[in-house]
Amino acid sequence: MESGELVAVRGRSGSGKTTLLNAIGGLDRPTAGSVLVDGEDLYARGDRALSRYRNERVGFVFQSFHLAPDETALENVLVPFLFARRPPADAAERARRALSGVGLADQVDQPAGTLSAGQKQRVAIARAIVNDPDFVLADEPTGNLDDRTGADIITLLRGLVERGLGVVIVTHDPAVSAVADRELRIVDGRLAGAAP
Amino acid sequence: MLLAGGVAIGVAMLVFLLAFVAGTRRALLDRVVSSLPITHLTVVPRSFSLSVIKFDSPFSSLDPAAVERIAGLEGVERVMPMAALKLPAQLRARFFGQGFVTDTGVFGIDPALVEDQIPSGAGFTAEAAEDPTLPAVISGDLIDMYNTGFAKTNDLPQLTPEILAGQQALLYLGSSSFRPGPEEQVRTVPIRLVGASDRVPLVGVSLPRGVVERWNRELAGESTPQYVQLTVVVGRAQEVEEVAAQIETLGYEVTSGREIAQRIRTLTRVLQVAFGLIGLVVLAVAGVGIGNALLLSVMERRHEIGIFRSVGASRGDIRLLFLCEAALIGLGGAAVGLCLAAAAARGADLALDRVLPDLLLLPESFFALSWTILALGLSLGLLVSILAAVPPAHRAARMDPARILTSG
Repeated sequence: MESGELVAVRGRSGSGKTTLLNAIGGLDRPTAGSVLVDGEDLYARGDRALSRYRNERVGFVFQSFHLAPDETALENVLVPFLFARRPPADAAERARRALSGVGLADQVDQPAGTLSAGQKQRVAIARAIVNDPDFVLADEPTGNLDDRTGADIITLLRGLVERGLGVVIVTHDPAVSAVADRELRIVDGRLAGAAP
Repeated sequence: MLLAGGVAIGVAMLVFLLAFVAGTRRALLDRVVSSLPITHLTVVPRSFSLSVIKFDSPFSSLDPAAVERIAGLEGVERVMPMAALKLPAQLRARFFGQGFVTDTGVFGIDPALVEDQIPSGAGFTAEAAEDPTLPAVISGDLIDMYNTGFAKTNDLPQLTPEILAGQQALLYLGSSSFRPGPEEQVRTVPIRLVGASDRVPLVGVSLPRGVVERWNRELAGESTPQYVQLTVVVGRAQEVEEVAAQIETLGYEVTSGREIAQRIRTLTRVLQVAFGLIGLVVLAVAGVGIGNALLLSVMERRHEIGIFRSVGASRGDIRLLFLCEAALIGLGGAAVGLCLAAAAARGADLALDRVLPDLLLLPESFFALSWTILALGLSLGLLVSILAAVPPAHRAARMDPARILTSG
């Protein structure tokens, strides 16, 4: 996978799509095989280096958002900086810019629990990109959204690709595959590449 | 909040009990040092007991020769003998309009023994004359006994050394309610009270020693003074035990303030350890509560843990997070506990002040909340909380973030 491309990963339920995504993101150590990042085996590193990789190189977006409902949108977006090696002095400003970039400039101080599902997913995307990662890894990002909101989110993720990020989306949604640069299918536990 | 409450109660109990022991020790030591300073030794003739009756050994008399021998020992700075009148005596006085008669002991003391406890200018000197009145000192404990017993049962006002100062009375030498003698042999001496001391005998009045020695000579025919007790002042505190040993080899019984203080220290140290253990048990129970509650919290917050891990938290970060939370709970609880202990100590002092009678020997406070005890309470509250959080923190750190985040 390269920066600047949107890859869709499709497959039947339980086929291992999310496991693949978590393995790429340094969250789930594969029982066999390896994940190479810049030519190096990601899982040859220790826990601290893997954590740094998750903090600096990738951003996760989940189907069920995983936000802290009582915290504001801004506070949710600031969470990755809590674990940064050197938190930037302008962290709050960067978080505001990220929220503005996903169209939530006027919802910055709203508690996440009071936002609509689409807004919550935008906050989650802002959290994923606030640290300027190389890749955004999205697991069924439209699974809890209606078609129109889902389409907006896919447009937003597509926009990230235009800015040079790599985006990997695990999905059942054929509409996502339609905008992807590449589609990977998991069939019978094996990966099969296919052009969109 | 509930977790911090457990720590607060544990720390409060620990600090309260330790402060009580420390305060009691301070009060006892103050009392010992006041009545028998650490450089002072009390020397009495060696005695032996038959049942409840105590006899002085005939080979262990305290006469001027003995005083001279002891004064000549290395390290001894001064010897202050105490004489007892060899005649019976009665004290007759009027207090608050009421007549008061009692048999009494009469003792002769060295004025230097009480010079720091009697107002200067009261005339309690070796040269004090019978005319017009002899200066006399009574025991502070006797005033306490009067206030708590006699005054209460007879509905009389409470006494203080200040009220008593200047009070006059008559001493009837040779008179006794047990052994009435012929009136013509009784000699009447006017005395005036000049103060109270905790270094004079409890039952009786104490006068300058020369006066009592003279009465023993003139009225009881005593040719050589026999003293009931010596107070030996040692020049340096570290020589006290050595001097005491030398005096004991001369055939006398010796009591030192240092020895009593040491006994008090040992006893209170045992109490401190016992009370400390009680406080620690309460803290340990609070610690188990914190541990269980944090385990529950780890399960409830597993999604939060999963998110933190996904955005870059290492296992160490998660572990540290829970330990820091526990430390904050411990710190907050311990701080509240210290306040509770201070408030409870104050409350107990006020309650004791109300319940206990006005005794001269009662300390101002039964509690000593020293910085050491406060720091110990704070540290133990913190330590117990952190230790209790180790298993939950470890469990949180070992959680599989991928499983948490995909479980919804």
